[in-house]
Amino acid sequence: MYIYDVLITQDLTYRYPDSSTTFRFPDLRVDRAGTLLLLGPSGAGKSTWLHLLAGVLSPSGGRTELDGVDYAALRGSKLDRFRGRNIGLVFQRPYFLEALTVLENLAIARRTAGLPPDRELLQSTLHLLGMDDYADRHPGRLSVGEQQRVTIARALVNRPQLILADEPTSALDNRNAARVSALLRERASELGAALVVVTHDERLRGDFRQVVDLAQQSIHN
Amino acid sequence: MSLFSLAWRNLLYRPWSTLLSVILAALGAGLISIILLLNWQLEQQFDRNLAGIDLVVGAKGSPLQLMMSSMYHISSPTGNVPLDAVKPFLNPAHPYIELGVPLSLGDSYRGRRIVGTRPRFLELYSATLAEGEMWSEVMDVVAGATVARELNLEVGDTFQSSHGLIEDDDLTHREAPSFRITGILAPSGTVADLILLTPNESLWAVHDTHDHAAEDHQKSHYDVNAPLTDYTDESITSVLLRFRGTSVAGLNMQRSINENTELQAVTPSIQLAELYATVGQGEQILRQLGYVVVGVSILSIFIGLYSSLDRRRGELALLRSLGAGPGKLFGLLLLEGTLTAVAGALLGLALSHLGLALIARYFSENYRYDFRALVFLPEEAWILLAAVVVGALASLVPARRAARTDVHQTLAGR
Repeated sequence: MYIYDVLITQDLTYRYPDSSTTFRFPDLRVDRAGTLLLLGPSGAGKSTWLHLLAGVLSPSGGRTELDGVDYAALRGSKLDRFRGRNIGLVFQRPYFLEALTVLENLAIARRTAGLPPDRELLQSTLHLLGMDDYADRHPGRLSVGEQQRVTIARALVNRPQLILADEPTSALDNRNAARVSALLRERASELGAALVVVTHDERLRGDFRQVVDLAQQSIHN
Repeated sequence: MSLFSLAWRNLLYRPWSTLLSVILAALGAGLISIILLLNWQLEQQFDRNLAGIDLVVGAKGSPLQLMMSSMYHISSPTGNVPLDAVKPFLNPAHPYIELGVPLSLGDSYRGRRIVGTRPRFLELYSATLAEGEMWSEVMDVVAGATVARELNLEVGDTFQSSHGLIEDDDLTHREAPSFRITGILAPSGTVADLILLTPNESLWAVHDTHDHAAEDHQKSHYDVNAPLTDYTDESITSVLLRFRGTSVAGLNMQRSINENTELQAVTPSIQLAELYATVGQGEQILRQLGYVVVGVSILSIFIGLYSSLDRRRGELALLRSLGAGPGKLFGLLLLEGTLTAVAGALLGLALSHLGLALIARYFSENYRYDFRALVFLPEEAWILLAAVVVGALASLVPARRAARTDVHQTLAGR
């Protein structure tokens, strides 16, 4: 084990229930503040991989280790709590709790992770994303770009060790895609968090230190 | 932000669907609550004024009317009876009768009934004088506490009575002598608070003038301190009787009076039981209607929550991904259902008390009875508790489905 590696996966496999196909994923090692791009076409198993890394899916075999904790082996509320505290997620579609304001959407992320509310931290996280004036607005009334920034803010608010993003730029034009990519990398670096992005968006290839191209690897048999 | 505030905010975010469920729950709870409240108030009023009266003897007619007019003073009397016919009931040495209180009804002052009687009337209701003194002459009046307060009557005030119970200037006995307040009763919480008491002779005096306008009315031929049985050729409205010992004699006496005389005897407790039974049928129907509305409100909460689940799948998956376990999602939906039902029940209880306040106003204006809108019954706490159970039941299935949200499928957009 490399001393700086924060995310390590080994022999990770997944088989969907009622399916004979088993996905086998390449081993990964991402160091603190490291960036990894998982490129691949639709249907290549990118989202499955990301959800395995997020602990949303439990692997059929192998290990997923974050800062020395094999969280794939955790179950129930322990896994939920671990994910809430240590993994920030940015989804392809910007999901929100529609009844809550932007600031409250950030606050609920701390609450569900069992962390104390910290209004100053919430405000400063919004400030980092240039969203100070949006705190009391409802996310449903924001533009797609603004919503994307709020989801990034929410992913950062618990100061996670790992940030996972699923197709964060696929709906954006070149300029906004570059901005979101830079934003994710800069903020992850500031937090000292590992950043893993899965996408089919080739525009991001040059932005990341490690790139795994699923199109060139067979990950299932 | 707690699960409770999140549930509350979710409900407020879809106000129309929430409002429908809340209104239905409010109707159900309100209907059941107002039935309980009315029942309780009526029974309180009726029971408090039973005053240990075993039998009411008066003119033939509706037994309910005789009881209502003589005991509760909210209806016209069935007529008058010759004093000679009821004299045996006023005999203090009667073997079965402990107390016989004669009543002369028919007049009022500003809608408040003037009751001609004897001082022992106060014994029935444990009423005592708060100020002034008991009557000593014809036309002297002792006012009930509520009447005195509402009409601003003071000792020494005089007034003229009207015929019947309606407040109408044309019905005032202008030729008759004036009544004079000599005393005011302390509040007793009974019907004694609501009436004006005077010797029986006062009402005879008023009607002497009325019937024989040319005659010079002299009060002197009446002695209010003499036993009423000393008079002949007079009439009164009824006699309230309290028996000595067991009521077997009372039942026999009632039957005997009804079968063998021109009088009518009514046992208030039996009459009230019959009244409750009649009212109870309507109450039962209303209560069942309340249960049906509660059932519909359960359905409304269930449909509201269940149909929102598809739209909220992403939101629920998001919560799971943020660290909320399935139990939290289950609890969130359960809380939303329960809060809806409890909010509805609270609104229903508030509406039922408001309704009772309106009914109280009607009763107060028409019958002078005081219903208290701000009385809270222990059963109302049960209604709230039932709302918690009903809300939880209605949201059980949606909550279970929410807890089973497939995070992977939802977040992957499948």
